[in-house]
Amino acid sequence: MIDTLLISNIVSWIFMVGLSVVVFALARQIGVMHERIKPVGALSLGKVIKAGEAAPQFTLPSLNGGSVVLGGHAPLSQSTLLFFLSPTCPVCKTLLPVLKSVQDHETGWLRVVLASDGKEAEHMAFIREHRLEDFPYLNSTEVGMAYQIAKLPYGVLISSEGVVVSHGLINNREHLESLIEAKMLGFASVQELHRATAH
Amino acid sequence: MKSNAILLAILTDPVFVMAVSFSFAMLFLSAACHKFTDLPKFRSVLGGYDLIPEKLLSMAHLLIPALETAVAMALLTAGTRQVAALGAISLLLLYAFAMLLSIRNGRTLQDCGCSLGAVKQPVVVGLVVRNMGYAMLAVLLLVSPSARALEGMDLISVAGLVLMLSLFYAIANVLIANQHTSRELFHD
Repeated sequence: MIDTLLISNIVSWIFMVGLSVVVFALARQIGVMHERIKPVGALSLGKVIKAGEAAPQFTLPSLNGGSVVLGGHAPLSQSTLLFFLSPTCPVCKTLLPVLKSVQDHETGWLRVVLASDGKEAEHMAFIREHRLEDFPYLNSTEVGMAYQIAKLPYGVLISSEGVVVSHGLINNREHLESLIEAKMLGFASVQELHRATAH
Repeated sequence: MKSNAILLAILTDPVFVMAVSFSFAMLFLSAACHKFTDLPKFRSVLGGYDLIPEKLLSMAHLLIPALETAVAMALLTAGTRQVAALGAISLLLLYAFAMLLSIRNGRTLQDCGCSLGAVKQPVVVGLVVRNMGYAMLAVLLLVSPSARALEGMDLISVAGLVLMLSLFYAIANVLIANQHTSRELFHD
């Protein structure tokens, strides 16, 4: 009888300690996960465009008809999200639904302008395939050169006064939202916000 | 009434008293080790609390880990256990009070300087509550344990209890730190 109790007691201790180790590991994993999913925001790459500077002015025809004015005071006091993409870039395609939802939800203060360069026929096919008829669509090497866009997809947020508010490499919805969030909070990028709040 | 009597018997049993005092000894010893290994950092953390005058800071940052070591050593022997328990309670309440004051003054310290260094532990209300709980547990050590000869089986119980209490301490620290990071992350 005593032996039975002794063994059951020792086994219980082992299992209790084991379970507590597991609970500790799980709790620690939650902490590690919190660290991992910290918002990082879109990465600003360009050295030529700086947040706070006036955006270069352009008046260009849109492939979807009409003309697009970039830079300077916007007529409807709307901000502009200039989104650089290419029909051959796979990440750009995954972001198209996000752009559509941003266009629908933020239409009061924001207009989304798509920009690319290359053969017009390819772009027309791209517009038809992905139903991008509602977006102003620029086909111009000048705009990309002016902003020195080296990597796609890249977003530039221009305020209604024609000032570059924030810009960065966009790889997912969170990056895109970080541009808008940085504007709302008055910072050039989410990284800068982190730097300011870190102390 | 009967269950109360059983509870009292457990709380004053030498096994329980030994396990709790050994756990506290480990806690204070590891805290002191952690501070002694990086004294300059502990000094800056202590300065961050802004409660000790600059002149006394160089003395205080040596005195605190020294006191912790003394309390830990005294907890290990039965003769000095009750005095050590008083010291442990005072230290725990002192830390809780210091953290409460720094929260009240709106100071957000990135690290309370109390953990084992593995986890960055910001000063939050949870830590104040944690320290109060520990102080209450240490009060049990002020009561003299009942006289009972310890057997081999009791040693297993003491070892198991010390292990479990240490693990619970570590888990509590991680959960409090997690609560803070989740609040930062989700803004709630």
